Amino acid sequence: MTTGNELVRAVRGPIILITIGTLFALDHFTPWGFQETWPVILIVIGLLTLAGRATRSGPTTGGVA
Amino acid sequence: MRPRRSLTGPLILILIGAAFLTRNLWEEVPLFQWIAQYWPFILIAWGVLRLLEVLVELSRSKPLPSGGLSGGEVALIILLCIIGSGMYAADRHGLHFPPFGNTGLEVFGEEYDYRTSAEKSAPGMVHVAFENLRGNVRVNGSDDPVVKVEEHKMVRAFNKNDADMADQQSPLEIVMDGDRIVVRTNEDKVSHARRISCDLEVTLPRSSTIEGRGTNGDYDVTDISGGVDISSGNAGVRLTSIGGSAKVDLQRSDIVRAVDVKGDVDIEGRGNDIELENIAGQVTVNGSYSGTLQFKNLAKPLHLESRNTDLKVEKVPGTITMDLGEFTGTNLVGPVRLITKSKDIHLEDFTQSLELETERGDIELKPGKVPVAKIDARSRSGNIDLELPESAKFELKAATNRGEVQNEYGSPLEAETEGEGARLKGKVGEGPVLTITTDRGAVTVKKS
Repeated sequence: MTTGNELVRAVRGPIILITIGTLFALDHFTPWGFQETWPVILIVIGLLTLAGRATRSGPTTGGVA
Repeated sequence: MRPRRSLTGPLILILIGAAFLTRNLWEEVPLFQWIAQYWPFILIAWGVLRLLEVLVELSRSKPLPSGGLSGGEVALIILLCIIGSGMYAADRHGLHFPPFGNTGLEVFGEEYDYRTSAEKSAPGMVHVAFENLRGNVRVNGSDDPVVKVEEHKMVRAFNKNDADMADQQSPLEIVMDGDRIVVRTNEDKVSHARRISCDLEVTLPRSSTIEGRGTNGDYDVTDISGGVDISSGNAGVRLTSIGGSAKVDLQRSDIVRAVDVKGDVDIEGRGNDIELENIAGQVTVNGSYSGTLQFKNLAKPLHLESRNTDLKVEKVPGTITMDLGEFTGTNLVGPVRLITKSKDIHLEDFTQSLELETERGDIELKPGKVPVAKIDARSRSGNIDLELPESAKFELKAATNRGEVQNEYGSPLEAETEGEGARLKGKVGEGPVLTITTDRGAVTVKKS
């Protein structure tokens, strides 16, 4: 049976990929340059890690999964 | 059971194949630019595809891959980002690599020359269209009511027979098409079109209107009282003494030069340099240009819009020179509005109001004449220098959020520091408000 945690881990790569693509597209077509927007990637990774931790069953341990 | 392999591998292969096929079949497609501009959408599509795959696996309640992406994929993505960014930077600076650009004539084989000429009488006002895929076109207006074309055709081939055949397949034609006269070189009728190029030397009635189409080659037009409309892939355009309006649409140009044009000038596309001088009509420039742009003596409004710059000037009796890093304007009639990303700006001798904004760059302003008009200048990061005439009347509101102010004007202007920044305020007579702001940098105000 698939748990929520597995789902979060499975979509993590694609979501980061889409974020990076979007930021580069913004860089090319809007005034928002990649040199300004790159921290969004860190935020997205952080949120995904949090989501992964929230959905994990059993005792929680620290660190980036 | 082996886990189902991802779809992305084969899809990437198909994309690469399609790209090379496009380049081989339709060489006029600006593939390099497309990829340079739109490659981030490949990343997005890739991510969406992987998300969909995860959802499909989920609905079949199969075990999910952890992490989502394999190591190979991550490496490929990083490679794509590096190559894409490189292409984007190269494209913006006007560089193009042979694998994707127009390679022009092939370097193999031998070159054979053919010369022909044709003419057709064209009384009264005429509209002449040129369809020449590759090669330079030089047009001169004359008093004779005849369209005369001299063609110099260059064919690259491995032997003379092939060259002769290519020559016969691409006859020079001057035909009537409705109310137009079409000059056609028929290069596209030859199977290996890229091996032929035709230079045309044309004289036609001065009153003609000219339309030019092509993928590769320069257009020189001189002494025409009608309009000129040129759209091409890779070309330089030089216009001299044009009575009507000029419209130039180029995907890539090394230079667009127009001198003595009585009508409007409308330039679109990408390229390096632009030089406009003595233009009586409105000037509109829309596109991205990585070289030097020069405007001299424009009698009507100039509007320039590019990726990083938005410029509006009412008249340019003097000159404007700009490139990627610098903007210099002397003797301008406002209102002037210049919004730009990163440029040093020097403005001298301008009238009416001024609205100026740059993200990174120093600003130097010398209004020169009295009365001084309203100024609103802003830099996110850079120094601002303002030099005011002795007799000017104004109210100054200058501020820097991080940096210092220098009052070389003297009283009644007063400086005060405020946190990491400073302000310079004061009123000299009854005059317009001059607002000068920089987030980071020094502000200097002085008398000229």
